[in-house]
Amino acid sequence: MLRASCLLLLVASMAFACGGDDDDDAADAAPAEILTPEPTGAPTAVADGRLTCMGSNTPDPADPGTLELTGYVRTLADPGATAEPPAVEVEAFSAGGAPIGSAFSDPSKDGRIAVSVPVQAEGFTGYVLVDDAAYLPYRFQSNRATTSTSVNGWAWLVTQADVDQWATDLGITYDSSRGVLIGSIHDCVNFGIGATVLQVDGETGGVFYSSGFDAAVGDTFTDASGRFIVPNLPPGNTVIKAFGRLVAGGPLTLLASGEAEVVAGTITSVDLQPR
Amino acid sequence: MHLRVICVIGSIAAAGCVGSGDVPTQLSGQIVGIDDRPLGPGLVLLEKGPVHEGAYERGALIVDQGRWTAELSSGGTWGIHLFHDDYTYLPAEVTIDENQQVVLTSTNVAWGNWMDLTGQPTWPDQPADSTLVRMPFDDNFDDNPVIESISMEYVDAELMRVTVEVSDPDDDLSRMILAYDSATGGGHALNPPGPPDGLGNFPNGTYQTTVFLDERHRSGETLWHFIVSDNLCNNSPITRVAMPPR
Repeated sequence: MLRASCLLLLVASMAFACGGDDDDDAADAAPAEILTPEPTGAPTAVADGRLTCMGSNTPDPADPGTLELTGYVRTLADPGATAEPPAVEVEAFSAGGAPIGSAFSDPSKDGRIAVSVPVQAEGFTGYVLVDDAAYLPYRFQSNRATTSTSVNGWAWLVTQADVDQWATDLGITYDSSRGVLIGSIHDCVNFGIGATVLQVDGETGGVFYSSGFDAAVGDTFTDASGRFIVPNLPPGNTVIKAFGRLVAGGPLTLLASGEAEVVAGTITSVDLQPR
Repeated sequence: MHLRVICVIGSIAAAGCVGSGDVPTQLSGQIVGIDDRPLGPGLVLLEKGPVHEGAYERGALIVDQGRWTAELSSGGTWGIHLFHDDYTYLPAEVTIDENQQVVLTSTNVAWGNWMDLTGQPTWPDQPADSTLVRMPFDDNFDDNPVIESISMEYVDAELMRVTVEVSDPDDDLSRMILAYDSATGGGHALNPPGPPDGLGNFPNGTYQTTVFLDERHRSGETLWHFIVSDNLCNNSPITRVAMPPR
Protein backbone atom coordinates (compact mmCIF):
# COMPACT_ATOMS: atom_id res chain seq x y z
CA MET A 1 0.00 0.00 0.00
CA LEU A 2 2.06 2.51 -0.79
CA ARG A 3 1.32 5.68 0.65
CA ALA A 4 4.49 6.90 -0.70
CA SER A 5 3.26 7.26 -4.08
CA CYS A 6 0.81 9.67 -3.35
CA LEU A 7 2.29 12.75 -3.03
CA LEU A 8 0.60 15.70 -3.98
CA LEU A 9 1.41 18.89 -2.93
CA LEU A 10 1.93 22.27 -3.61
CA VAL A 11 1.87 25.55 -2.11
CA ALA A 12 4.30 27.64 -3.68
CA SER A 13 4.90 28.43 -7.15
CA MET A 14 7.11 28.90 -10.01
CA ALA A 15 7.39 31.14 -12.82
CA PHE A 16 5.86 29.07 -15.46
CA ALA A 17 2.74 30.82 -15.92
CA CYS A 18 -0.17 28.93 -17.10
CA GLY A 19 -1.83 30.53 -20.00
CA GLY A 20 1.31 31.63 -21.66
CA ASP A 21 2.28 35.14 -22.47
CA ASP A 22 -0.76 37.29 -23.03
CA ASP A 23 1.31 39.79 -24.92
CA ASP A 24 2.60 37.29 -27.36
CA ASP A 25 -0.01 36.87 -30.07
CA ALA A 26 2.18 34.53 -32.03
CA ALA A 27 2.52 32.23 -29.05
CA ASP A 28 -1.20 32.39 -28.35
CA ALA A 29 -1.91 31.43 -31.91
CA ALA A 30 0.57 28.56 -31.92
CA PRO A 31 -0.94 25.10 -32.14
CA ALA A 32 -1.12 23.17 -28.92
CA GLU A 33 1.68 20.70 -28.34
CA ILE A 34 0.71 17.13 -29.10
CA LEU A 35 2.29 14.03 -27.58
CA THR A 36 3.19 11.78 -30.46
CA PRO A 37 3.82 8.98 -30.84
CA GLU A 38 1.55 8.06 -28.00
CA PRO A 39 3.09 5.91 -25.28
CA THR A 40 1.98 2.36 -24.70
CA GLY A 41 -1.05 2.28 -22.45
CA ALA A 42 -2.09 5.85 -23.16
CA PRO A 43 -5.63 6.61 -21.99
CA THR A 44 -8.39 6.51 -24.56
CA ALA A 45 -10.78 8.56 -22.43
CA VAL A 46 -11.02 12.32 -22.41
CA ALA A 47 -8.98 13.97 -19.65
CA ASP A 48 -11.26 13.97 -16.63
CA GLY A 49 -11.27 17.48 -15.22
CA ARG A 50 -12.70 20.96 -15.58
CA LEU A 51 -10.49 22.66 -18.13
CA THR A 52 -12.44 25.75 -19.04
CA CYS A 53 -9.52 28.00 -18.07
CA MET A 54 -7.18 26.44 -20.59
CA GLY A 55 -5.47 29.13 -22.60
CA SER A 56 -6.29 31.96 -20.23
CA ASN A 57 -5.11 30.90 -16.83
CA THR A 58 -2.61 33.62 -16.08
CA PRO A 59 -2.78 34.66 -12.41
CA ASP A 60 -4.09 38.08 -11.51
CA PRO A 61 -1.32 40.42 -10.37
CA ALA A 62 -0.45 40.48 -6.71
CA ASP A 63 -0.60 43.60 -4.58
CA PRO A 64 3.06 44.47 -3.90
CA GLY A 65 4.01 44.23 -0.25
CA THR A 66 3.72 40.92 1.51
CA LEU A 67 1.70 37.84 0.71
CA GLU A 68 0.75 35.03 3.05
CA LEU A 69 1.38 31.64 1.49
CA THR A 70 -1.20 29.37 3.03
CA GLY A 71 -1.61 25.62 3.03
CA TYR A 72 -1.38 22.52 5.19
CA VAL A 73 1.54 20.32 6.18
CA ARG A 74 0.80 16.76 7.22
CA THR A 75 2.50 13.41 7.08
CA LEU A 76 2.15 10.84 4.38
CA ALA A 77 1.35 8.33 7.10
CA ASP A 78 -1.63 10.37 8.24
CA PRO A 79 -2.83 12.56 5.40
CA GLY A 80 -6.21 13.08 7.01
CA ALA A 81 -4.62 14.37 10.24
CA THR A 82 -6.49 11.92 12.43
CA ALA A 83 -3.77 12.66 14.97
CA GLU A 84 -2.09 16.02 15.45
CA PRO A 85 0.36 16.63 12.63
CA PRO A 86 3.87 17.77 13.51
CA ALA A 87 4.82 21.40 13.96
CA VAL A 88 7.54 21.88 11.37
CA GLU A 89 9.29 24.94 10.03
CA VAL A 90 8.43 25.87 6.47
CA GLU A 91 10.84 28.21 4.73
CA ALA A 92 10.05 30.07 1.53
CA PHE A 93 12.70 30.89 -1.06
CA SER A 94 12.69 33.19 -4.04
CA ALA A 95 13.12 31.73 -7.52
CA GLY A 96 16.77 32.66 -7.17
CA GLY A 97 17.13 30.66 -3.97
CA ALA A 98 17.18 33.51 -1.43
CA PRO A 99 15.32 32.84 1.85
CA ILE A 100 12.40 35.25 2.10
CA GLY A 101 10.31 34.03 5.03
CA SER A 102 9.60 31.16 7.36
CA ALA A 103 6.85 30.05 9.71
CA PHE A 104 5.65 26.94 11.52
CA SER A 105 2.72 24.69 10.82
CA ASP A 106 0.11 24.66 13.58
CA PRO A 107 -0.83 21.23 14.98
CA SER A 108 -3.91 22.70 16.63
CA LYS A 109 -5.21 23.63 13.20
CA ASP A 110 -4.63 20.33 11.41
CA GLY A 111 -1.21 21.44 10.20
CA ARG A 112 -2.17 24.79 8.81
CA ILE A 113 0.70 26.97 7.64
CA ALA A 114 0.91 30.63 6.66
CA VAL A 115 4.23 32.13 5.63
CA SER A 116 4.49 35.86 5.04
CA VAL A 117 6.78 36.66 2.11
CA PRO A 118 7.57 39.84 0.18
CA VAL A 119 6.11 39.95 -3.32
CA GLN A 120 5.87 42.27 -6.26
CA ALA A 121 3.09 42.16 -8.85
CA GLU A 122 4.27 38.89 -10.38
CA GLY A 123 3.58 37.18 -7.06
CA PHE A 124 5.50 34.38 -5.41
CA THR A 125 7.47 32.38 -7.95
CA GLY A 126 9.88 30.53 -5.72
CA TYR A 127 9.66 27.32 -3.73
CA VAL A 128 8.93 26.23 -0.20
CA LEU A 129 11.12 23.85 1.79
CA VAL A 130 10.47 21.66 4.83
CA ASP A 131 13.76 20.34 6.18
CA ASP A 132 12.89 18.53 9.39
CA ALA A 133 15.07 15.76 10.79
CA ALA A 134 12.17 13.33 11.05
CA TYR A 135 11.42 13.49 7.33
CA LEU A 136 13.19 13.63 4.03
CA PRO A 137 13.78 17.19 2.87
CA TYR A 138 10.68 18.27 1.02
CA ARG A 139 10.51 21.16 -1.41
CA PHE A 140 7.45 22.13 -3.34
CA GLN A 141 6.61 24.53 -6.05
CA SER A 142 3.94 25.26 -8.61
CA ASN A 143 3.96 26.05 -12.28
CA ARG A 144 1.67 28.98 -11.53
CA ALA A 145 2.74 32.07 -9.61
CA THR A 146 1.00 32.57 -6.28
CA THR A 147 -0.61 35.99 -6.28
CA SER A 148 -3.42 35.62 -3.75
CA THR A 149 -3.77 34.42 -0.19
CA SER A 150 -6.12 31.61 -1.12
CA VAL A 151 -5.06 28.27 0.29
CA ASN A 152 -2.42 26.99 -2.04
CA GLY A 153 -2.30 23.33 -1.13
CA TRP A 154 -0.93 20.60 1.05
CA ALA A 155 2.36 18.89 1.77
CA TRP A 156 2.52 15.32 3.02
CA LEU A 157 5.89 14.76 4.60
CA VAL A 158 7.68 11.58 3.57
CA THR A 159 9.95 9.46 5.75
CA GLN A 160 12.78 7.25 4.57
CA ALA A 161 10.63 4.26 5.53
CA ASP A 162 7.89 5.54 3.26
CA VAL A 163 10.30 5.72 0.36
CA ASP A 164 11.72 2.28 1.08
CA GLN A 165 8.25 0.80 1.12
CA TRP A 166 7.37 2.59 -2.04
CA ALA A 167 10.49 1.29 -3.78
CA THR A 168 9.69 -2.24 -2.70
CA ASP A 169 6.15 -2.04 -3.98
CA LEU A 170 7.18 -0.62 -7.31
CA GLY A 171 10.04 -3.08 -7.68
CA ILE A 172 12.79 -0.52 -7.99
CA THR A 173 15.92 0.40 -6.09
CA TYR A 174 15.96 3.83 -4.55
CA ASP A 175 19.15 5.75 -5.23
CA SER A 176 19.70 8.37 -2.53
CA SER A 177 22.20 10.21 -4.72
CA ARG A 178 19.27 11.11 -6.93
CA GLY A 179 16.00 12.84 -6.24
CA VAL A 180 12.35 11.91 -6.25
CA LEU A 181 9.83 14.02 -8.12
CA ILE A 182 6.23 13.81 -7.10
CA GLY A 183 3.23 15.93 -7.87
CA SER A 184 -0.22 16.27 -9.27
CA ILE A 185 -1.90 17.66 -12.35
CA HIS A 186 -4.85 19.88 -11.45
CA ASP A 187 -7.80 21.28 -13.31
CA CYS A 188 -9.20 24.81 -13.18
CA VAL A 189 -10.89 24.28 -9.83
CA ASN A 190 -7.89 22.53 -8.34
CA PHE A 191 -9.13 18.97 -8.47
CA GLY A 192 -6.94 16.28 -9.96
CA ILE A 193 -7.23 15.40 -13.63
CA GLY A 194 -7.64 11.74 -14.51
CA ALA A 195 -6.55 10.11 -17.78
CA THR A 196 -3.43 12.19 -18.28
CA VAL A 197 0.08 11.11 -19.21
CA LEU A 198 3.15 12.72 -17.66
CA GLN A 199 6.32 13.39 -19.54
CA VAL A 200 9.54 14.26 -17.72
CA ASP A 201 12.43 15.70 -19.70
CA GLY A 202 10.88 14.34 -22.87
CA GLU A 203 10.36 10.82 -21.53
CA THR A 204 7.14 9.13 -20.48
CA GLY A 205 8.95 6.06 -19.20
CA GLY A 206 9.91 5.97 -15.54
CA VAL A 207 6.78 7.79 -14.44
CA PHE A 208 4.55 5.97 -11.94
CA TYR A 209 0.98 6.86 -11.15
CA SER A 210 -1.08 6.70 -7.99
CA SER A 211 -4.48 5.46 -7.06
CA GLY A 212 -5.57 8.00 -4.54
CA PHE A 213 -3.00 7.69 -1.78
CA ASP A 214 -1.91 4.20 -2.79
CA ALA A 215 0.56 3.03 -5.37
CA ALA A 216 -0.91 2.01 -8.67
CA VAL A 217 1.64 -0.43 -9.97
CA GLY A 218 1.12 -0.93 -13.67
CA ASP A 219 -1.06 2.12 -14.23
CA THR A 220 -0.07 4.11 -17.31
CA PHE A 221 -1.94 7.34 -16.67
CA THR A 222 -3.35 9.36 -13.79
CA ASP A 223 -6.43 8.51 -11.83
CA ALA A 224 -8.78 11.18 -10.52
CA SER A 225 -6.18 12.33 -7.99
CA GLY A 226 -3.88 13.38 -10.83
CA ARG A 227 -0.88 12.18 -8.82
CA PHE A 228 2.37 10.84 -10.14
CA ILE A 229 5.83 9.94 -8.94
CA VAL A 230 9.17 9.82 -10.72
CA PRO A 231 11.98 8.21 -8.72
CA ASN A 232 15.72 8.41 -9.23
CA LEU A 233 15.95 11.58 -11.28
CA PRO A 234 19.40 13.16 -11.60
CA PRO A 235 19.81 16.42 -9.70
CA GLY A 236 19.14 19.54 -11.71
CA ASN A 237 16.33 21.29 -13.49
CA THR A 238 13.70 19.10 -15.04
CA VAL A 239 10.74 19.83 -17.32
CA ILE A 240 7.39 18.20 -16.59
CA LYS A 241 4.49 18.11 -19.02
CA ALA A 242 1.02 16.65 -18.71
CA PHE A 243 -0.97 15.52 -21.76
CA GLY A 244 -4.59 14.50 -22.10
CA ARG A 245 -7.37 14.27 -24.65
CA LEU A 246 -9.63 17.30 -24.83
CA VAL A 247 -12.20 15.51 -27.01
CA ALA A 248 -13.01 11.87 -27.58
CA GLY A 249 -10.67 10.43 -30.17
CA GLY A 250 -8.55 13.55 -30.13
CA PRO A 251 -4.79 13.67 -29.70
CA LEU A 252 -2.95 13.79 -26.37
CA THR A 253 -2.71 17.54 -25.97
CA LEU A 254 -0.53 19.52 -23.60
CA LEU A 255 -2.57 20.48 -20.55
CA ALA A 256 0.13 21.87 -18.28
CA SER A 257 3.87 22.20 -18.07
CA GLY A 258 6.40 23.38 -15.54
CA GLU A 259 9.94 23.12 -14.33
CA ALA A 260 11.30 21.92 -11.05
CA GLU A 261 14.74 21.59 -9.56
CA VAL A 262 15.45 18.05 -8.46
CA VAL A 263 17.80 17.76 -5.48
CA ALA A 264 19.60 14.59 -4.39
CA GLY A 265 18.00 12.82 -1.43
CA THR A 266 15.09 15.24 -1.50
CA ILE A 267 11.42 14.92 -2.30
CA THR A 268 10.56 17.54 -4.89
CA SER A 269 6.87 18.15 -5.34
CA VAL A 270 5.42 20.07 -8.23
CA ASP A 271 1.89 21.28 -8.64
CA LEU A 272 0.82 21.53 -12.27
CA GLN A 273 -2.01 23.87 -13.14
CA PRO A 274 -3.58 24.12 -16.60
CA ARG A 275 -1.50 26.17 -19.00
CA MET B 1 -11.93 22.73 21.46
CA HIS B 2 -8.71 24.64 21.23
CA LEU B 3 -8.59 27.96 22.91
CA ARG B 4 -7.82 29.80 19.75
CA VAL B 5 -11.16 28.86 18.39
CA ILE B 6 -12.82 30.54 21.27
CA CYS B 7 -12.23 33.86 19.69
CA VAL B 8 -14.45 32.90 16.84
CA ILE B 9 -17.48 34.01 18.67
CA GLY B 10 -20.03 33.96 16.02
CA SER B 11 -20.25 36.15 13.06
CA ILE B 12 -21.56 39.54 12.35
CA ALA B 13 -24.22 39.74 9.79
CA ALA B 14 -23.69 41.91 6.85
CA ALA B 15 -26.10 44.07 5.00
CA GLY B 16 -25.45 46.33 2.11
CA CYS B 17 -26.26 47.34 -1.36
CA VAL B 18 -25.08 45.63 -4.48
CA GLY B 19 -22.94 47.70 -6.71
CA SER B 20 -22.05 47.11 -10.31
CA GLY B 21 -19.31 47.47 -12.83
CA ASP B 22 -16.03 48.65 -11.40
CA VAL B 23 -17.25 49.77 -8.00
CA PRO B 24 -15.06 48.56 -5.18
CA THR B 25 -15.68 45.58 -2.99
CA GLN B 26 -15.88 47.31 0.33
CA LEU B 27 -16.53 46.66 4.00
CA SER B 28 -17.33 49.36 6.53
CA GLY B 29 -18.70 49.67 10.00
CA GLN B 30 -18.97 51.67 13.19
CA ILE B 31 -18.03 50.63 16.71
CA VAL B 32 -19.19 51.98 20.03
CA GLY B 33 -18.19 51.45 23.65
CA ILE B 34 -20.09 50.38 26.72
CA ASP B 35 -21.64 53.81 27.03
CA ASP B 36 -22.68 53.85 23.39
CA ARG B 37 -20.16 56.52 22.55
CA PRO B 38 -18.29 55.96 19.28
CA LEU B 39 -14.81 54.54 19.81
CA GLY B 40 -11.66 55.72 18.16
CA PRO B 41 -8.97 55.66 17.14
CA GLY B 42 -8.83 51.97 16.53
CA LEU B 43 -7.70 49.41 14.02
CA VAL B 44 -9.23 46.75 11.77
CA LEU B 45 -7.30 43.86 10.27
CA LEU B 46 -8.89 41.65 7.64
CA GLU B 47 -8.03 38.14 6.61
CA LYS B 48 -9.16 36.57 3.36
CA GLY B 49 -10.94 33.37 4.26
CA PRO B 50 -12.81 32.23 7.36
CA VAL B 51 -11.91 34.09 10.52
CA HIS B 52 -8.75 32.60 12.09
CA GLU B 53 -8.39 30.33 9.07
CA GLY B 54 -7.64 32.91 6.43
CA ALA B 55 -4.63 34.97 5.44
CA TYR B 56 -4.10 38.61 6.38
CA GLU B 57 -4.40 40.93 3.43
CA ARG B 58 -6.01 44.22 4.29
CA GLY B 59 -6.66 46.66 7.10
CA ALA B 60 -8.20 49.99 7.97
CA LEU B 61 -8.11 52.65 10.63
CA ILE B 62 -11.08 53.27 12.88
CA VAL B 63 -11.35 57.03 12.84
CA ASP B 64 -13.98 59.65 13.53
CA GLN B 65 -17.13 58.45 15.24
CA GLY B 66 -15.84 54.91 15.35
CA ARG B 67 -16.18 54.48 11.62
CA TRP B 68 -13.96 52.43 9.35
CA THR B 69 -13.91 51.49 5.68
CA ALA B 70 -11.74 48.92 3.95
CA GLU B 71 -11.47 48.06 0.28
CA LEU B 72 -11.10 44.35 -0.35
CA SER B 73 -9.16 42.60 -3.05
CA SER B 74 -12.12 40.38 -3.94
CA GLY B 75 -15.45 39.07 -2.81
CA GLY B 76 -15.75 35.95 -0.69
CA THR B 77 -15.48 35.19 2.99
CA TRP B 78 -13.44 37.57 5.11
CA GLY B 79 -12.40 37.42 8.75
CA ILE B 80 -12.59 40.76 10.54
CA HIS B 81 -10.73 41.77 13.68
CA LEU B 82 -11.68 45.03 15.42
CA PHE B 83 -9.25 46.56 17.91
CA HIS B 84 -9.39 49.38 20.42
CA ASP B 85 -6.96 49.98 23.26
CA ASP B 86 -9.48 49.81 26.08
CA TYR B 87 -11.49 46.89 24.78
CA THR B 88 -11.07 43.20 24.08
CA TYR B 89 -10.74 42.67 20.39
CA LEU B 90 -13.78 41.57 18.46
CA PRO B 91 -13.61 38.92 15.73
CA ALA B 92 -16.25 38.66 13.06
CA GLU B 93 -16.80 37.11 9.68
CA VAL B 94 -18.72 38.12 6.59
CA THR B 95 -19.25 36.78 3.12
CA ILE B 96 -19.41 39.49 0.51
CA ASP B 97 -20.05 39.46 -3.22
CA GLU B 98 -17.68 41.03 -5.70
CA ASN B 99 -18.38 44.77 -6.15
CA GLN B 100 -20.62 44.82 -3.11
CA GLN B 101 -20.42 47.40 -0.34
CA VAL B 102 -21.31 45.93 3.02
CA VAL B 103 -21.90 47.52 6.40
CA LEU B 104 -21.35 45.29 9.39
CA THR B 105 -24.38 44.94 11.59
CA SER B 106 -24.92 43.23 14.91
CA THR B 107 -28.37 41.85 14.18
CA ASN B 108 -27.22 38.32 13.58
CA VAL B 109 -24.36 38.19 16.06
CA ALA B 110 -24.03 34.74 17.57
CA TRP B 111 -22.01 35.66 20.63
CA GLY B 112 -21.77 32.11 21.93
CA ASN B 113 -20.88 31.03 25.41
CA TRP B 114 -18.07 33.49 25.88
CA MET B 115 -18.42 33.59 29.66
CA ASP B 116 -18.28 29.81 30.02
CA LEU B 117 -15.24 29.48 27.83
CA THR B 118 -13.16 32.39 28.99
CA GLY B 119 -14.38 33.30 32.45
CA GLN B 120 -14.40 36.87 31.27
CA PRO B 121 -17.38 39.18 31.40
CA THR B 122 -20.05 38.36 28.95
CA TRP B 123 -20.23 40.08 25.63
CA PRO B 124 -22.20 43.26 25.81
CA ASP B 125 -25.77 43.63 24.71
CA GLN B 126 -25.91 45.33 21.38
CA PRO B 127 -27.46 48.72 20.60
CA ALA B 128 -30.89 48.92 19.07
CA ASP B 129 -29.31 50.39 15.96
CA SER B 130 -27.85 47.25 14.42
CA THR B 131 -25.29 49.19 12.40
CA LEU B 132 -23.51 50.01 15.66
CA VAL B 133 -21.29 47.24 17.02
CA ARG B 134 -20.52 47.51 20.72
CA MET B 135 -17.05 46.32 21.67
CA PRO B 136 -16.47 44.11 24.75
CA PHE B 137 -14.77 46.10 27.53
CA ASP B 138 -11.44 44.82 28.82
CA ASP B 139 -11.51 45.02 32.63
CA ASN B 140 -8.14 43.36 33.14
CA PHE B 141 -5.05 44.64 31.36
CA ASP B 142 -2.67 42.42 33.35
CA ASP B 143 -3.01 39.51 30.93
CA ASN B 144 -2.65 41.56 27.79
CA PRO B 145 0.28 40.84 25.47
CA VAL B 146 3.05 43.39 25.12
CA ILE B 147 4.67 44.62 21.94
CA GLU B 148 8.08 46.30 22.08
CA SER B 149 11.16 47.18 20.08
CA ILE B 150 9.54 47.67 16.71
CA SER B 151 12.17 47.93 14.02
CA MET B 152 11.82 48.82 10.35
CA GLU B 153 15.05 48.56 8.41
CA TYR B 154 15.63 48.95 4.69
CA VAL B 155 17.30 45.91 3.21
CA ASP B 156 17.75 47.67 -0.12
CA ALA B 157 15.88 50.18 -2.27
CA GLU B 158 12.81 47.95 -2.52
CA LEU B 159 12.75 45.81 0.61
CA MET B 160 12.07 46.67 4.23
CA ARG B 161 12.38 44.22 7.12
CA VAL B 162 9.95 44.63 9.99
CA THR B 163 10.63 43.03 13.39
CA VAL B 164 8.85 43.27 16.73
CA GLU B 165 9.46 41.83 20.17
CA VAL B 166 6.35 40.24 21.63
CA SER B 167 5.62 38.76 25.04
CA ASP B 168 2.50 37.62 26.80
CA PRO B 169 2.06 37.34 30.60
CA ASP B 170 0.04 34.16 30.39
CA ASP B 171 1.86 32.62 27.44
CA ASP B 172 -1.06 32.12 25.12
CA LEU B 173 -0.13 34.27 22.15
CA SER B 174 -2.12 33.73 19.01
CA ARG B 175 -0.81 33.92 15.45
CA MET B 176 -2.12 37.47 15.38
CA ILE B 177 1.09 39.48 15.46
CA LEU B 178 -0.24 42.02 13.01
CA ALA B 179 0.67 45.20 11.23
CA TYR B 180 -1.25 47.66 9.10
CA ASP B 181 0.51 49.71 6.44
CA SER B 182 -1.25 53.07 6.02
CA ALA B 183 0.38 53.72 2.66
CA THR B 184 -1.06 50.65 0.95
CA GLY B 185 -3.97 49.62 3.15
CA GLY B 186 -2.23 46.26 3.50
CA GLY B 187 -2.55 44.01 6.52
CA HIS B 188 0.36 41.81 7.49
CA ALA B 189 0.85 38.87 9.84
CA LEU B 190 4.43 38.60 11.03
CA ASN B 191 6.25 35.26 10.96
CA PRO B 192 6.85 33.60 14.34
CA PRO B 193 10.23 32.65 15.85
CA GLY B 194 9.12 29.14 16.73
CA PRO B 195 6.31 26.62 16.53
CA PRO B 196 3.08 26.81 18.48
CA ASP B 197 2.40 24.30 21.22
CA GLY B 198 -0.33 21.70 20.93
CA LEU B 199 -2.93 24.26 21.95
CA GLY B 200 -1.90 26.72 19.29
CA ASN B 201 -0.13 29.07 21.70
CA PHE B 202 2.74 30.79 19.92
CA PRO B 203 6.03 31.62 21.66
CA ASN B 204 7.22 34.94 22.98
CA GLY B 205 10.09 36.40 21.00
CA THR B 206 10.95 38.20 17.79
CA TYR B 207 8.40 38.17 14.98
CA GLN B 208 9.33 39.43 11.54
CA THR B 209 8.42 39.90 7.93
CA THR B 210 9.86 41.55 4.85
CA VAL B 211 7.88 43.92 2.69
CA PHE B 212 8.31 45.07 -0.89
CA LEU B 213 8.06 48.85 -1.11
CA ASP B 214 6.61 50.79 -3.99
CA GLU B 215 5.74 54.32 -5.00
CA ARG B 216 2.95 54.51 -2.45
CA HIS B 217 5.56 54.46 0.28
CA ARG B 218 7.29 57.47 -1.21
CA SER B 219 4.28 59.68 -1.63
CA GLY B 220 1.75 58.48 0.88
CA GLU B 221 1.38 57.77 4.56
CA THR B 222 4.40 56.39 6.34
CA LEU B 223 2.73 55.31 9.55
CA TRP B 224 2.51 51.64 10.45
CA HIS B 225 0.15 50.34 13.15
CA PHE B 226 0.97 47.21 15.16
CA ILE B 227 -1.27 45.06 17.32
CA VAL B 228 -0.86 41.71 19.08
CA SER B 229 -3.59 39.43 20.38
CA ASP B 230 -3.59 36.28 22.46
CA ASN B 231 -5.85 33.27 22.12
CA LEU B 232 -8.36 34.71 24.60
CA CYS B 233 -8.81 37.86 22.55
CA ASN B 234 -6.73 40.05 24.86
CA ASN B 235 -4.75 42.53 22.82
CA SER B 236 -1.84 44.88 23.23
CA PRO B 237 -2.22 48.62 22.82
CA ILE B 238 -2.16 49.71 19.19
CA THR B 239 1.41 50.87 18.58
CA ARG B 240 2.17 53.33 15.81
CA VAL B 241 5.58 53.77 14.22
CA ALA B 242 6.56 55.86 11.21
CA MET B 243 8.75 54.34 8.52
CA PRO B 244 12.27 55.72 8.77
CA PRO B 245 13.34 58.11 6.02
CA ARG B 246 14.98 56.53 3.01
